[in-house]
Amino acid sequence: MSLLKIQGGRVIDPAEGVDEVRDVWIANGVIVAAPGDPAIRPSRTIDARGFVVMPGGVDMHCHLAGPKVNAGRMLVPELNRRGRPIERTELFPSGSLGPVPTAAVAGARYAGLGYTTAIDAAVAPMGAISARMELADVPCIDKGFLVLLGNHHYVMDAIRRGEKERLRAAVAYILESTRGLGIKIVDPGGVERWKQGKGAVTSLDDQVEGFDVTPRAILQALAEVADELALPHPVHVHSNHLGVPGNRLTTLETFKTLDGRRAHFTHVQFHSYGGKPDNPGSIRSGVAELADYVNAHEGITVDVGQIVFGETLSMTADGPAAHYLKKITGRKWLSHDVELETGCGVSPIRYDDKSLVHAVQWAIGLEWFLGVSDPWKIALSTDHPNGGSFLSYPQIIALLMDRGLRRDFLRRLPERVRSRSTLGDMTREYTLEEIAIVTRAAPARILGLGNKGRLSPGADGDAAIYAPDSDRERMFTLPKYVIARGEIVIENGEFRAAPAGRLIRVEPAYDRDAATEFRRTFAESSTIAASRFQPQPDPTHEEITAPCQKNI
Amino acid sequence: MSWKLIPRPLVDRSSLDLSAIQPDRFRDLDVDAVARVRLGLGNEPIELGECFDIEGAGGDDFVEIAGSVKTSIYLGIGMKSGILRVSGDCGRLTGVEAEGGTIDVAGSVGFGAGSAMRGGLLRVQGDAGSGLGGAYPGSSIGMRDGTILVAGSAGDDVGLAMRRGLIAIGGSAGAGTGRSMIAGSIFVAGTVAKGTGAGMKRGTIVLMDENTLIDEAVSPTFAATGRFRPHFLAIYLRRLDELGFAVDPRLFGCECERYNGDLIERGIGEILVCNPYSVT
Repeated sequence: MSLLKIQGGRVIDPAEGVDEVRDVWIANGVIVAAPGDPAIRPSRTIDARGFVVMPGGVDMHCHLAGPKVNAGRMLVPELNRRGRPIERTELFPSGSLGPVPTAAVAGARYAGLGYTTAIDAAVAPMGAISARMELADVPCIDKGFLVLLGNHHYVMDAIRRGEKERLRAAVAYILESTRGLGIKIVDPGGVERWKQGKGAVTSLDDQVEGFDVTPRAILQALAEVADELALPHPVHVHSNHLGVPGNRLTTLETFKTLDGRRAHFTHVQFHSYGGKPDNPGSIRSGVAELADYVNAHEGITVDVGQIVFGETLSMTADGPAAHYLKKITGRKWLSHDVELETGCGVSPIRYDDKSLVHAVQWAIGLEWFLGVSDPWKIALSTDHPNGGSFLSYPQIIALLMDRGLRRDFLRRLPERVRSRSTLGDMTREYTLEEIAIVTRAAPARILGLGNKGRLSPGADGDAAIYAPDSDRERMFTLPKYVIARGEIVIENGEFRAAPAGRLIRVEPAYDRDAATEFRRTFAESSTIAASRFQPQPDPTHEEITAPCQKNI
Repeated sequence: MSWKLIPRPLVDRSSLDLSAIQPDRFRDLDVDAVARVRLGLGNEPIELGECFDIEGAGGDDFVEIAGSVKTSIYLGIGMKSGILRVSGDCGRLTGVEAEGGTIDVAGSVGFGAGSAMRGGLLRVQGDAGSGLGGAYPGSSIGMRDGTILVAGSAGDDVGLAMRRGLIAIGGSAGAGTGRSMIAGSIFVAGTVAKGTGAGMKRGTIVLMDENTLIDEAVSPTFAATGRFRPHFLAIYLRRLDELGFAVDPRLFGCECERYNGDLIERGIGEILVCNPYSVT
């Protein structure tokens, strides 16, 4: 039995309300209570005296694998080549960084920041096989993915027909057969409408032609399904009108539509703009009202999708949003119609600190962090790679913890940002405990992953040990130790092991007979053989099941 | 003194990343340090000493590769100064993003030589592959400055999306010479294939072969705008002559037929077809 003792560190474990010097014991990859018998000696002791011990980081929204990520890699070879190539080592194959790192590099770099779990936020059901195969090549971290259902033809048909049983069974069947973790809704109805050549939806009550459903009906029906199936993670909503000035009204309306239900709203930074829809330059912050709503309502959580200045790649299932972006930037663009299911758009973008629009977007993201009073309702994300790479998390952490740094940063930005955002007046500074919440404990709780984001007995043996440093960016960039499932991945800043990492998925209970019609429809309409779409274990991964019970 | 690197047979086994061979950085190294420079063979790092026999010593910014490195990639990438000489052939993407110095290849170069180059001189005695002086795959801007001289022929897409600089080809060039060119100058002594200057915004393409079939090489979106004797041409040709590029002496002061285009783009580029019999 391997028994690891992390001795004498300052343990910050917000899930248990712990911030004190104590030991953490990990036996066979799981955190255990300190053995009562002093004769039991650990097989390995890490001296963490003077260091900060936190649970392993959890990224609840990134784009890590699957067809659109690969489309992105192919679209921008010139960006992926920038920077030194990553050479093969004993532990990891060679690869490249760029906005979309290669699979092994991504896993290693996540671990390199002290993250041990990452969830790909948008995989079309048809892309699940390819996404899983690629995720199998992402080492060190546990991973999972959310399945796109907000523009799914069968889902919309079932909603129109009012067949709740069949809808629930179809969703459960899709989750089971894709090995997904939860339901993702992207631009509900809007992608389908745009694919039909009818432009973006104008409101939540627009009809999607051919299906006679509205974005509102899709949101409500899928949120209901998530509750009925008791999925660990509620619906993960990317609302309509991403990136369009004035979209704060759509977002507020979407909040209200799901009032009383559990719902997670993702990359809210991109959905909190004031201004006029037809004038990108009119963008201004609309965070205040939305953050107040989140503060006042239980059951609603958000992740931010902070942007970071620099060159990156936007990739989304929101075809219309990518097209909108392409029209603004004039850069290359790729659009993909995923038959029956969703869309996809990829386009490079350079966030420029001389640009007023980008500066306002940057300020809006930080306003969200500082405006949501309960850190358990908000998770740190850059929507990697859309807002910037996950590698910039330490920079964002430093900005949250230091208002002086924010002030200096703001000075570099166009003057007019100050009249478009209230960031300059916000004095809140995150504590280390709050950082531990937004980077670990809260995303784990929102995802419903009871074994992640905490250091109490029974949890997965994932921990990150940081050396305290007044330069917070340096502190969180270079963890001293990273432990994944009890295995020491990083020791004194150097990689020691590359464990494979597991696939986290759900196994909802449902009426299999009610899914027959979905299977028949799929067999009739899809270009993919229905046999590819069967619930069967994935041999490429060790799988673990997130239990279906409401956690929020 | 300078360094002489003699390739071992091993180097042809797989793609050989030579990006670390930089004359200015080799000047102050001793032989052991040169042998330890990290290259890449296939997907594995490898030390220079395993791929090359090393002769000579440092002291000046001069490195010679005495032989062929046909599978090489990124030789002279981002080079800033000094001279890099290859006495044989080399592979893909030679001199990418070079900012200065000289790369002298006695043999031929493969795909993408001099792409996204920013300065310096790339001289090739043999032939060049496609994408010479063009854009790095995926990017929208090609060569930004510098000079590329090829004594032999070149493949397709010479100067793709080039922004500035000079490319001269002694032999023929393939399809799409100067395609989507933003500015700069391309001289071709031999024939060109179809799509010459297609989508060019500005810049000059000079076709020096009297046998050029202009109707086949240039799209109808170029307009013939008459004949004239461009004074700048003699200056350019003299400069090429000085650089050791063979120029037909009849072309100094010759008359050219001018085609203006590409009219589906900004339309202020030009293709000049020289008439060697027009010298008075």
